[in-house]
Amino acid sequence: MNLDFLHNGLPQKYLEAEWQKPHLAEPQLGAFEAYNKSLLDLLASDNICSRRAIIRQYDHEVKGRTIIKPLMGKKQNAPQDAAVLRLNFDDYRGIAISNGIIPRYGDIDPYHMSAGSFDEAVRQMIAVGARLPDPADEQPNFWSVNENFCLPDIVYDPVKNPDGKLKLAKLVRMCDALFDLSVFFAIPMTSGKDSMKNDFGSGKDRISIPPTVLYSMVAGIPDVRHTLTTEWKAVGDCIYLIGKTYDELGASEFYRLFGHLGAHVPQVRPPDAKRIYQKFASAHSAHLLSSAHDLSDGGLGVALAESCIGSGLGAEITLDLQTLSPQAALFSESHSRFIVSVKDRARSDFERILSTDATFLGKVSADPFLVCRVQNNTLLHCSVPQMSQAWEGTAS
Amino acid sequence: MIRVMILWGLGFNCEEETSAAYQLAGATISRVHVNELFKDAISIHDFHIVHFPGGFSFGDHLGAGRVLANRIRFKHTRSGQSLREELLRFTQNGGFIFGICNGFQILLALDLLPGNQQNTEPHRVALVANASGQFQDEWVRCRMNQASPLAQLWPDEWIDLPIRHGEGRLLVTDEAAELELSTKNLITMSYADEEGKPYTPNGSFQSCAALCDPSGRILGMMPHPEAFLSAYNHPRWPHLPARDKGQGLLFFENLVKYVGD
Repeated sequence: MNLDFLHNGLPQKYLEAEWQKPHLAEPQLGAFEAYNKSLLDLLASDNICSRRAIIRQYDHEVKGRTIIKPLMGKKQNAPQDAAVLRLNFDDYRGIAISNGIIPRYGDIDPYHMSAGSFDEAVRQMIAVGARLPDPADEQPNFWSVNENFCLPDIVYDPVKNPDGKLKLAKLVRMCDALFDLSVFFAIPMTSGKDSMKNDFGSGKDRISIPPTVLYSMVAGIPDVRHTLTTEWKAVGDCIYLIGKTYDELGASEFYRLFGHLGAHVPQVRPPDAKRIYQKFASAHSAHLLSSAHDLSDGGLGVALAESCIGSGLGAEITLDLQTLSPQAALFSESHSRFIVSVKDRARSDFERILSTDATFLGKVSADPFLVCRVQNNTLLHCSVPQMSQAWEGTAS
Repeated sequence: MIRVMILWGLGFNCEEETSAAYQLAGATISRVHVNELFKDAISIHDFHIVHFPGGFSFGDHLGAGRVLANRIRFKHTRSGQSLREELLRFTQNGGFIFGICNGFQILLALDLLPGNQQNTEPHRVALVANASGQFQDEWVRCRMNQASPLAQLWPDEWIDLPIRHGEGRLLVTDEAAELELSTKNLITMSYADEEGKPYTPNGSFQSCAALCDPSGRILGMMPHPEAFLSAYNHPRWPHLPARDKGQGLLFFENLVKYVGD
């Protein structure tokens, strides 16, 4: 066979893409007196509820190396952000493994879906105690990311696939975000596996899956004993929100409860994210953090509830809304955020490192209730057993 | 020094952490592929312990442990004896046989554990599908039977270990076998809940987690001590005082010492 033909014989393929921004608006939900029902509904929803039934049916202990498992804590019901394994049996070097996937954001903008999924995987790593790679280091921390694209047919055909150009434009936007975030965080994209043409039927009866990307990351952990879990550790510990909440309820799980999509999809702000992750790592390396949980589906309300469920302890929170609505403060899914708990004696050191990137929310309480107040209003007042039952699917 | 033969291959998947367990406990190990054993290429009599690890030998077809047990039962060695008879002779000469999870299933299907030692069918004692009908992975608290012939392996009474099995429900079908297990204290270890109260994750007879033979030379257990070599394997480690060795490693240290004595 002619080698020139073998290497260069395939003609370059050209496809047409055309991005059209959807015309969307924010819904008018009005003010709620309290959000207890919303929180319990969120905890019971498909994307947030406990995965215990699945987790218990696969062997996540084999090889005897797991340090942070999918479920930890006193009653083995505390959901974790990333898995941590040690590599050898005679030392404590290890790796963390995380995943980011938020397909519903793609209904508003696939760029922000892809960027947000990437950030989700990164912040899960940070939450368990990984440190971002610094290319200036002689031996930068080991990080690697794989992508899994799952897409419909992106080849335009006026009859069979009339919106093919838009579908391809979505892929282009997803790839743009992949490039931007991977380069910005200096996390090498080492491989991927893509599934295309996930459609059924043809023409106007065609059913196509929403364009989806999953980022799976691996990062080195120098000492797996120095990692963090999500559940509260002790009564009286101070709870902080790290990162900033924006009015970004677009495509949130909260809007989904009411059948709305919204318009303000969460956006990653890379320089802010990097600064926050570096400060987080500094606070962690100074042993200032007792627990950490990244904020994702369901926002602050769900993350607080999960830390209560996993520990059996309560939390008393006071929110300063500033310009936010109560629902945005509780359920906005803005990226690059965490809740952490800090020992009282570590507060001043913690606040010095985090400065304006952390907001004091309240304290871990022995009273098993999640209570959240704004001035004189009580937005949330849910018992831990009530939240557990909703989340575990055991509520009557 | 205690020499341990750790079998691997044909579906076993816990040989790495099992090897680490014995080595950290001060024994020397040889990992031996099951086929090497069948080829008579290596003799069990050169070891102090023969270990059947966890996994899915022969894909659990015909019931967990069944195929490999039958191969051992019917495989004739150079001595003219079956491999099963060689294993019995090995224990009579002071050797120790330890099976964990799939290893336990094999020892029971091989009639090396109480209830079945007459080597007759049908079995009176068997490990069958969990009462939940599902594979289960969770950490459980176990109570060591301090009257058991192997009580020295865990004098502290309580030990936390993970279980990971689909067929761990011990079934005892006749009263004679029930009587034998209870009067001779052969249920070495039983399950409990986090507060130490009786709890049976898989429907096992008398919450049985481990069985030994009356001589104390053969032990089969469902929980995995080899998955708890570090204190940091425990799902509650962030809430417990910092320490290094996991209870599983201490268990193996006791085992190596027991066999050495």
